[in-house]
Formats: sequence, C-alpha cells, structure tokens
Amino acid sequence: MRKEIFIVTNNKLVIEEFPALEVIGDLDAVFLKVRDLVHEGNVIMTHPLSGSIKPHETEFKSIVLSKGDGTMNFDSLHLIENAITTSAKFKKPKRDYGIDNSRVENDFMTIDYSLLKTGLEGLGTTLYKLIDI
Amino acid sequence: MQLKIGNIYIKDVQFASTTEVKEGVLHLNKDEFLAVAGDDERIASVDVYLAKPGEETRIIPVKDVIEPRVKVEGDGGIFPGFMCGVEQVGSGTTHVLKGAAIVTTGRIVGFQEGIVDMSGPGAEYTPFSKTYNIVLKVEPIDGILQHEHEEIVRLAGFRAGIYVGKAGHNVTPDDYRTFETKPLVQQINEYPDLPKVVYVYMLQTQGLLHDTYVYGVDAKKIIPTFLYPTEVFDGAVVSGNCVSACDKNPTYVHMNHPVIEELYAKHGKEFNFLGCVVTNENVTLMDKERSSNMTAKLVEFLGADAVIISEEGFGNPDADLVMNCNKITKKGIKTVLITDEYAGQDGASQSLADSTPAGDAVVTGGNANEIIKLPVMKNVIGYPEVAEVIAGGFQGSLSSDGSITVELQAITGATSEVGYGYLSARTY
Repeated sequence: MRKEIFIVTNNKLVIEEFPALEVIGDLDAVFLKVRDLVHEGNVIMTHPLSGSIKPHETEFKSIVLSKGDGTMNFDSLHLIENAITTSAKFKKPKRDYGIDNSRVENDFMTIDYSLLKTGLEGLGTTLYKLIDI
Repeated sequence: MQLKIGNIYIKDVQFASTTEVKEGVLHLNKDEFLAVAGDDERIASVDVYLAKPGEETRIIPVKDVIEPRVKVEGDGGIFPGFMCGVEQVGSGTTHVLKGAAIVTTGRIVGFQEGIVDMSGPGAEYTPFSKTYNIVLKVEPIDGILQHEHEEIVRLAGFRAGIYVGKAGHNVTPDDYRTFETKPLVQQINEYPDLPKVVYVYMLQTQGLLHDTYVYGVDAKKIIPTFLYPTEVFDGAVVSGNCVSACDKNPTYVHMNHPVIEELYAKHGKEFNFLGCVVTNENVTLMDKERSSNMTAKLVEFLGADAVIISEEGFGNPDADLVMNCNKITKKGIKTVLITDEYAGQDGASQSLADSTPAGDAVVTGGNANEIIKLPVMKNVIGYPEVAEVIAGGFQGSLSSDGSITVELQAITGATSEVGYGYLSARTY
C-alpha cells in the first residue's frame, strides 16, 4: 500500500492547486505546526529549509510530511528544530518593496510553489499518495 | 583524458568594428555581439556595457558570469548540451580569453541580489571586480514567466560567451597548462604510493532559480556520476542558480574550478587525484538518501583514501553535506568539507543548519551575514532601482546619500564555497 503524504503550507498558490493543510501565519507558524505534527508521529519528507532565499526574506513555506504510525521520528524532529533555530537567527522586520510589494510576494510564492512541485515530482506516485488532511 | 588550456591574457576590452584579440586587447563588434546574444524570439531587447577593473561602476543584479572559451582541437565544444551536441568534452585544446568575462543581468524576479562593484570596498569581496566585464542586459518579451525568463538570460549569456570565445580561436596563447587524468586503473597505478583523492562536487539542484546542469541535463534528475575533471573546464557543468549571490557557483567558477585546479597542482606530488563525483542537493529526504548512498558507494568503488566535499548553498544543502560526510566517513574514507557560514551579523551563531561529529575537517568560505557598506558608484549598469530591494539588505539598506548597507550575501562570489574568492583568515 502506498504511503500517505500531505502538504503543510501558508502559500496560497499551493492551496489553489493541491490539497493541503493551510497554516494562517508566517514561516514560524508553518514550522511550529510541522513540529507539532512531528510530535504526533508524522515524518518530514521535504527539507524545511528548502531554497536559498533566506528565512524571513521570504515567509512562504510548503513542507511535505508522511503520515506516521504515532511513533515520533527523531530525524524529523532534529530537522524541524534546526529549522526553527535557523529561522530565529534570520529574524528581521518585514521589508517594504514599495510598488513592487505584490510582485515580490508573488515571486516568493512562485519559488516556494516550484520547489514543492519539484519535491512532489521527486517523491513520485509509485510509493506515495497525496492526501487531503 | 588530457586537456591543454591555452590562456590568452586580456588586458583591455573595447568596442570596435571587428571582434578580435589584438595584442591582448579584446575588440568587440557591438552589433554582431548583440545580434548573437539576442537571437531568441523570446527576447525583446538586449544591450551591452563594458565594466573594467578600478572603475567606479556597480553591476546589479548579476545573474551569471561566463568565461569566453573556444575549443580549437578535440571532441565537442564549449557548453555541451546547450551550445553544441553532447560529445564527450575535456580533451584536446581549449583557448581561454583569460581576464575577460560575460556578466548577465536581468530582472527575473522582483527581489534582487548579485552586486559586483568594480572598485571600492565591495570590489575586494568579488573576484569579478578584477575581470574585464562585458555586461549583457536582457529584456524578455511581455508575458514571460520566471522559469522561462531565467532560461532566456542563461542561454543568452552562453551564446555571448561562445561568440566572444571564438575571437581566441586563431590567437597564439600566452601560456599553456596541461591537465590529465587517466582511466582509473592506469591512474591508480601511475602513483601507487600516493593517497588517492576524489572530489565530491555538490551542485545546487532544488528547482526554479536553484538549478545546475551537467551536459545539458538538469542535475536534480541525475544519479551521482563520475566526471573527468577536465570536462568541467570545457563547460560540462553550468549554472542556472540565480539565488544566494555570495555562495552560488556562477558558470565561470565551474569552468575555473579552484578545487579541481588545486587538486591538479598537487596531483602526483602529494596525492593521486582520481577525479570528480558530481552529486545533487534535492529537496526531498528520499533524494538525499539516494544521492548520498550513491556518492559514498562511488567514492568507495573508485578506491579513494580521502575526499574533498564542497556544498553549494545553505540550509537544505547542509543536510546533503552532512549525509555525504557521514556515509563516506563510515566507509573508512577521510573527508574534508568546504562550506560557508551564516553565523549571524556578529558571527556568534551556529554556522550551519546541520552538523556531524564526523565533520572534523572543515574549510569555511566566510560569514555571509557580515555587514558591509557600499559607497555610491558613478555608474550603475543593470537596474539601479533594485538597490532598495536587494536580498541580504533590510529596511533602510539604501541611505539618502545612495550608499547601501548589506550583508556579504548580496555580493557575487563573496563567500564562495569552492574558494573562488579573496576572504581568508590569518593568525598573528
């Protein structure tokens, strides 16, 4: 049987196209939600620090997890805790891009969406089934 | 496989009626150059500017840097899979216009990065302040999305590099360097008493604006494989990586790979350099497991006693770096890692997003969070208006006097993770 995977995201471009668990909030809100899900036994499938745009340059983040058996996966916990620590290091006030604000926001969402899509393609559909949660 | 590199040292670049190299000066026919570089129906306009060392010039935002090279003897051409077929490259003779560079600029996305200052404090941090730069500005037609825009700018840069490189075809080089790696068994037998070293060459491969290509193949789709190091000198590996200016490897750096050059310099003296294993840095943990397993297996199969591993990027790639280090170490092979650091503006924070006790020999390219103030420049090539939105900057980065305060991460090549830069540490 294929393993069930799901997306946690705060990116509306992702929500428009895929079934996903929507987080209302910034990057840290996504990370904290993922940490809760890891504690509940789910397993991280895509790296939380995907992309070279630094935390808080962009606030958009999509992460794929697989449904676990209820046992906490320590590798996943290590990954998300490191991501949270890294995020705190990069914390800074929100940039104002002036008239380009909406374009920049759209670019950040597009890149996150693209990295997620790359990840989903990498996982494929032979072993994994994307579900709504 | 043997490659002879003929260096033609370029001392100046000027616009002229004929594109040619005369007494070390690169003459460039502007119209011809623009016609070749702009030869893509998706391009609305192209323009070209010259930027020379010492000038009060800023180039912003820099997308890629390409060295003009031409194959004068041997199979294939420069940039296989893009500008020619996919013949095996890395043998024969290649001429290089050493000191010249094509620099591409384009507004692919709204946020920007990639500063090259030709003088002042910023110039000390980028190797491309020392090259005679032919700056190519590319504007696509309306309606082009980010993926395609990146590809258009990338290919225009390669076409420009090939066009300029051809000017060196019939020029006698100022000097030659010969690099040779033999088939594995012969190579091992040539220096049986020296330790065998392999270079694990990690490539940025996460997706849009984060890609690298090997012989035209998107490297996120490769299984780690072996490259003769000389293949890289003919452009077998090219950059489509537009994010994180300080520690991405522009195509120029792949073509002049400092780790490979240094390994060759000590080849046959201190160790036996067997070649390169290229691998990727994908976003899924499954890909990371697969690629690091394959990399460790290949390195062991090649008979390495030690490996150098360099990463490209920060965060996600740190996981690949650590996996490669752990799995190779577990096979009893020594590792040296090359990275850069995001240690906070005061340098006091944890440098990487992952770590391992096996990583006991690490070389750093510097702290990308360090702050630098860049003064106003007389000329700005590219898109001067983006200074306000530069990545690595922050609200208020642009002062009223026009100077910019940014982290080093905004400067192209400042903390190169293959060491193609000027930062170093000294003890007193």
